Amino acid sequence: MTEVKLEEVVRVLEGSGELAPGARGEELEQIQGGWSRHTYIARIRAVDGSESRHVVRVRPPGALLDTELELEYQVYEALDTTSVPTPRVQGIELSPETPFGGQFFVMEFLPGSPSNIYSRDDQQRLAEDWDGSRGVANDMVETLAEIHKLDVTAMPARIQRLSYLDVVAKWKAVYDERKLVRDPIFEEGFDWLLANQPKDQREGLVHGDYRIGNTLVADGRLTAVLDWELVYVGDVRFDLGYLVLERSAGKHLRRRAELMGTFADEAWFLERYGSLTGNPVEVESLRPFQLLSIMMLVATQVTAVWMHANGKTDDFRMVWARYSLPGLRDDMVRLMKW
Amino acid sequence: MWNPLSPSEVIAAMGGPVRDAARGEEPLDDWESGQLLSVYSATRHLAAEVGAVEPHIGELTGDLAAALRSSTDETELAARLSQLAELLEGVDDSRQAAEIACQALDLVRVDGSTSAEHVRAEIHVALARAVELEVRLLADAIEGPVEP
Repeated sequence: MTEVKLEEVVRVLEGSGELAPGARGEELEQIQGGWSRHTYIARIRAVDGSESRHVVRVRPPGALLDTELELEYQVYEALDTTSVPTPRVQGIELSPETPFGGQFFVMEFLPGSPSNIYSRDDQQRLAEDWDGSRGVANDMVETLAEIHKLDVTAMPARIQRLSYLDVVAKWKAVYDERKLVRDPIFEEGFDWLLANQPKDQREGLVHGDYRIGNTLVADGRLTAVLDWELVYVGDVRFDLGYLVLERSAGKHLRRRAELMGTFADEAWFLERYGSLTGNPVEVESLRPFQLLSIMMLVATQVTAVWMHANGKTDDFRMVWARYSLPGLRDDMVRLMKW
Repeated sequence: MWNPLSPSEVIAAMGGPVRDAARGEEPLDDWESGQLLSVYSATRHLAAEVGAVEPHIGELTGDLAAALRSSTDETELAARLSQLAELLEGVDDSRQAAEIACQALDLVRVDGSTSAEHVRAEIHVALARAVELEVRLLADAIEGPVEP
């Protein structure tokens, strides 16, 4: 089966003109991570003997989130013309009938590795960056400011435009459809969000899952921002609220890393972001966005369990997802000041 | 406490990745190792859930029942909340307790009176206590107790 998959990757790369005819796939490895996309690294030998590596992003059957692979591909294409570091996309297969079990696209392999916010080693490495050159911390804040300042009219027109209330409704609908058990805290959380709607809106491109784990870091610098499948045009403070969550700092049950997102001091990050964008941010104003981003996590974790319970996936991580809910409830209770 | 899937459903789901690993003829790849590590992590959580958290379900239902009876008014709302409190006292499954708490919150949200808001706040306190207890018990078992 691996050979068939590699042949398919080569076919897509030859079809897009990325590789000359006659290339040969040599190795394919599925890597850990990726909840609604499965990720593979493919090693290809070109006819001239040179070797290249490529990342294959697959939308598996029964993907966790109903997000469009083609739109994600187009977002990467649009971002390629900006200063936001992203891998160049190299070809896409839109037929769901592929050896990978679903649509996929191929992109260049960039140097660097993602950080695991739950790993003490990675937390230590990022804390050393903060205490030292702050290469990662600076890159993270400058890149986020760049993303939020992008001209949204230059992005694919099909990117959803969502108000704060639209985002609340989106995740509430997922919870309502996919819950196996009614949860009084989640339901009160949605009600709290409606009662605490921000009075203003700061519109821009929202990454939707901006955290250190969705970036690549090499030699103390950010080389890529990945996982754009939740992108939308809306209030950019969503990304900030998400970043200042304790969960983004590696909290599963108890917080372990001192630094926001495991890579920077929170006050420093928000002040720097404010000066880069010209839009100062008060941490208290992020509270609704913190809770909103928790509701996104709740909806995805509830969906994960629902998918396994309904036979749509045999990925055991979807069952494990139930154990992320106690920590999220704990965060919610404190944010709502119960 | 009131997580989706029962402990027995979680145990049943563990079998798949374990069987696949046992039957596989090739060395495990990164993905397959990840599946087994998730099973391992789930065993630790499950042990704490069954051994440490579930014995406290009676405290949850007791606290919630007291919250539902905290209204001193003689209103239709108070009567309906009292009925739900009686239901709670016969429940030993936290998922059923959560369902009843949701029904109570539906009632007080719609009512919106000062008395209803008082009951709502009391429900919040009971739920927050359960959440903090669950996180502490799971964290003590999995991440180790907080050092003084």
